[in-house]
Amino acid sequence: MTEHPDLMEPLRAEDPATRPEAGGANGAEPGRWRGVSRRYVTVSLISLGIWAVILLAAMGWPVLLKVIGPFEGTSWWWLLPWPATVVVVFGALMATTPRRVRARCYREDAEEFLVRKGLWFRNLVVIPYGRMQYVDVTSGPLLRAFGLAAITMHTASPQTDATLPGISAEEAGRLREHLTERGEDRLIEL
Amino acid sequence: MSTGQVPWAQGTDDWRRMHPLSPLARGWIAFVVVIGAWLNTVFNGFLEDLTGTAENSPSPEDVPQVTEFFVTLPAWLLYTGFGLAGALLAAAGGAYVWWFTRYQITPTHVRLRSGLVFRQDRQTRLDRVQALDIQRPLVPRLLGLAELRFEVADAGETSVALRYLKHDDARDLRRQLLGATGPQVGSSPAADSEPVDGLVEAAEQGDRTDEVEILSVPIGRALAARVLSIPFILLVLVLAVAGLVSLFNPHAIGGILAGAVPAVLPLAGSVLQALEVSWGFRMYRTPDGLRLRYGLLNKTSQTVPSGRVQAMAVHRAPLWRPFSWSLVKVNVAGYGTETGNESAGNRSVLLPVGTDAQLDLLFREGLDLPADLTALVIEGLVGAAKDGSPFSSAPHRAVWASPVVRRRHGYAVTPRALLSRTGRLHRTCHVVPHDKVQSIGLGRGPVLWRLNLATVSLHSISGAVQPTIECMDFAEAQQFISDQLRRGRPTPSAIPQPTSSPTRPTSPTRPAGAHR
Repeated sequence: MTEHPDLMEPLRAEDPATRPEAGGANGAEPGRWRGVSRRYVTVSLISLGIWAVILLAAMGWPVLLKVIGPFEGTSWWWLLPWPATVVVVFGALMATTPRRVRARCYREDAEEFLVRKGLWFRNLVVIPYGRMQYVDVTSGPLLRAFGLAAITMHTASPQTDATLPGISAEEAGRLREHLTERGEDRLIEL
Repeated sequence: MSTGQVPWAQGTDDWRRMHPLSPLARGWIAFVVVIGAWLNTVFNGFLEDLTGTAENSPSPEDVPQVTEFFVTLPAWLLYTGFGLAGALLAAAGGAYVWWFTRYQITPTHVRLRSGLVFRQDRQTRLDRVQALDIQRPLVPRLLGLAELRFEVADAGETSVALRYLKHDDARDLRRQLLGATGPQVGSSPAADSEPVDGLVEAAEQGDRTDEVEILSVPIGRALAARVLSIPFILLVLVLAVAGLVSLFNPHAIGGILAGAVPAVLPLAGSVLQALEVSWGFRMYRTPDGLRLRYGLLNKTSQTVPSGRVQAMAVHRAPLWRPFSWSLVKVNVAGYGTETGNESAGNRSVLLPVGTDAQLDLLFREGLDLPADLTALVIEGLVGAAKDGSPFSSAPHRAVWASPVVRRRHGYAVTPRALLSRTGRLHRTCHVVPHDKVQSIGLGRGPVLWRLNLATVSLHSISGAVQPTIECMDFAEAQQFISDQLRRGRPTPSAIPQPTSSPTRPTSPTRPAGAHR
């Protein structure tokens, strides 16, 4: 790992690394950050939206009952704050989603794999290839509809929190093969 | 599969399925529930039909038109229908899981692919497998099936488990894989029998001839250490308050009991558990590692393979400081995170309460660590930021993030290990060998970001020890990570030398699984 002053900086919107789809399947050059897929923004928004609807239904039914009658005597002050909180929190989450997705990125160095995430609470995990125990590729229906997959790198430590939730399925396959192959060359006994 | 050859996959699309009875072995509880419920209701229905005492059945006028048809059916027929539907549903679910669960064994990998809607594709390298175990729970055993587990050193979680294969096939496969991969893949000595707890064996078992006693904890000190521990003091406080209140207000005894019991039970439990591990504690040195014998209610003997110690934490409780006592906990590869086992919380304890001299004894005699480490660890326990200390310390501006503990955050680097210290009241010093760090994390929240600081965590295997260095200057942290990664890399010509390097695996012929 070379000394980069930007280990925790999220990618900027104009950074070409935030458009991995456009780059083609040429593999990553070492020492360069790559973002997760742009399509993952849509996936995040949809899944946030589903949660928002569920929570709004759970918090907002008294409002509906007041409008149609049975809760007529109850003050708005009792009813409105809960759904309003949901709207504000999810609004903020959705508004920051593109930036949070851009903050998720990874880098393949000569000896280590680096994963970065978070806006307010920024986090970086550095995994030497030789420490990787196995690699999980998972995909739910929503991710698959967008041609995406999630990839998780596991070391012998449960604290290694290295997940890339939305990279293209081909990239996930490439990474898995690549990481497994590199890990084999540098295998470190536990 | 019993042709004497490993069923290597012929190409990447050659996938195999588990034994067709696996769904029954996996979901037998569902079957039992369905069949039990069916038997119960059918039997009741028969009785009612026979005796004509179906008093509870609703009268036809009460129910809507649609359900009238069902209500007029004999009850047992209705329930048989429900039972059949339930069984069919369970069978369909089991068949679905079975159909979409496939595995593949190549000369280098084992892959497991499962699920259709939520797909999972997991692969692990055969040379990463620490143990290849066959497990036979009761129901699969009755069906002649067995589970083949490829254990890797992960978070106490099996990486790949083939559930279930025919027992003979599983045994053949295991033998052939062990032959094929040579000594890299270990296997438990108890692999083909009931799971045996190999770490906590009966105290009488095993010969004591090769044991050399290193140290022991007197019972007086074990008791005193408990009395001076935070849980005990809290316990006494809670009991005293409850006693006083009920003395002056006898009517409230019920409420006080209800409030105090949930607080008292875990506190008393933790005091007793800690007393259990320090009572009659003796440590011996054996060829296999350190043997610990202790126990008040359960006499326990535990072997800690010293080559598999991955990280160590030395703690000093606030009231132990006048006596310089400390508690040593370790992360040991292969212990996993077994819950449900009463002594699981005690397994990470290497020394329940020891003096500084015993700490030195443990490090030099027990773990073959360099002689200067003891002084460094003690400095890590008692020292604070000052010039000339071997520990680096957090910069002054960290006062805003951590006003009390700031002067205690720091780390020191030795040729073989990294030490980090923290804690003002409850003092802690972590020791991690450089080559045991799995990965490194760097994190900072909004406050640390303002102060240009960061927290570095060194990820060790699962266990009680999780070393972190708080409030590091951000630029220093980046430099530290790149240095630490360099220190953790194996030297190219490194040949494992068990005598010179106690923190490495004891020898290649004793893989991790052999100790389990």
